[in-house]
Amino acid sequence: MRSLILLILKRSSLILFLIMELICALLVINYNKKQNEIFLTSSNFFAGKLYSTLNVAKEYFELSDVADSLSYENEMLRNQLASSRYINIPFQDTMRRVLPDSLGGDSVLVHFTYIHATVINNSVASSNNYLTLNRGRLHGVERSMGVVSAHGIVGIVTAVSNHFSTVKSILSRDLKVSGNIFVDGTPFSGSLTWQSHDHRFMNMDYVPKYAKIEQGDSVLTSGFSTVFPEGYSIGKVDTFFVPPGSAYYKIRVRLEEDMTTIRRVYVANNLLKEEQLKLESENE
Amino acid sequence: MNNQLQANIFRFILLVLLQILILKQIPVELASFRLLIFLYPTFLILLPTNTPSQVMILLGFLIGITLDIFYDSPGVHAGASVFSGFIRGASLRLFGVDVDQVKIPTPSRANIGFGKYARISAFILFFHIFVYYVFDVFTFVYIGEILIKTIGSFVISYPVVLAFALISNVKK
Repeated sequence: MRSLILLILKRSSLILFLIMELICALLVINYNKKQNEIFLTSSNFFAGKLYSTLNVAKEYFELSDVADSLSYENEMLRNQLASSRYINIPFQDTMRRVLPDSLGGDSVLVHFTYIHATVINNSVASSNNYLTLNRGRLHGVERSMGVVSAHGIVGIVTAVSNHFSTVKSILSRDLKVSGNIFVDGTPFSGSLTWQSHDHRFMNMDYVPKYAKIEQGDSVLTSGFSTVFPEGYSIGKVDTFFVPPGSAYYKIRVRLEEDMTTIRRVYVANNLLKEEQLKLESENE
Repeated sequence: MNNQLQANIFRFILLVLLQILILKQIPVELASFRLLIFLYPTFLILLPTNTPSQVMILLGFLIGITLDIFYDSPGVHAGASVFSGFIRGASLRLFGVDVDQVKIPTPSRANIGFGKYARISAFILFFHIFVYYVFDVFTFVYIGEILIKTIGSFVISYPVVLAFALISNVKK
């Protein structure tokens, strides 16, 4: 016993070193699994405040980019306006059914509402990347909401404080997103993951090889999960091949959103999420 | 002694601020790898030579976890900094700095010479970055990626560390 104590005293720095490294390893594992170590992330108050202050300065240099992305969004919204459509058929009634605005009563429900937010901290260099947004619990942001931008999807909210929230970026090795590729109007769905180290690309699997996909085909969100609304752009098919013996393509998808410069995002709040999840859990 | 404590606290704050407000904001891309620039290990290199190794390890954890809060990566910077704190004493001895000599409390460029400082900081910085990427990727399956990122990051970080040593002039 005495020699054991002497040994510990003699080697105390080595033992302390090993204990501290173990703590660090546990922190890494824990954070990747539970994603709620809010205290140690930049959504905590102090780090959040510092980043917001820095953000004020950075915004001035990025005004032209912001204006570009805002006008792009305005363009998309204008395209959806009823007044921006020319009704080309004599049967006006048929057309009205397509435009939700003209339908009254309970026939159209609001499925998603959006909370706009600014990215105040961003990383793309790690294996699991996170963003910090300047919107939190007080603004209605909750865990596991989806985050989208003008050009595509961004990530999933993992932790929320009163004024800030952290988002697990789609550039994370343990995040899966389901996506659709449309070939002649038929959707082929597959699963997108980020396996590379390159922030411009994601990998897509499980698209059957009989689908005649081409380079440049759009990949859109499928709306299967409760996180992202259907039909949001993710990226475009960059390269693809069928591994020998496989029934599925291996596709590399070029992301539409430049994840390094992303500034303005929208947190998507699925109003029918609980109903869907409750129904789905009844089958298990 | 009190003076030295103040100097180290000041260096801690300065290096953390430089790291998160400037170096973190610079995007560096090398063959599609996004790389980090490391300057803050300078804090561990410049701690007084007579610091007990247990204190070195705990201070390593402190500066690492501080950066982790800003990098959103709990444990990754901390793991690397604990390692750097652990090997600091041994690397001073390895490159021939007499750690028991009371005349040079701080192993700075001005006190031990630029050549020695450059070698010691290269040694610590390289292992710091290597351990960082081991913790970041957290599996040896990607050992090639870890090595490429380590070398790339070292090549861009080392000039910054040396530049900081040339600008700062610690004589105490």
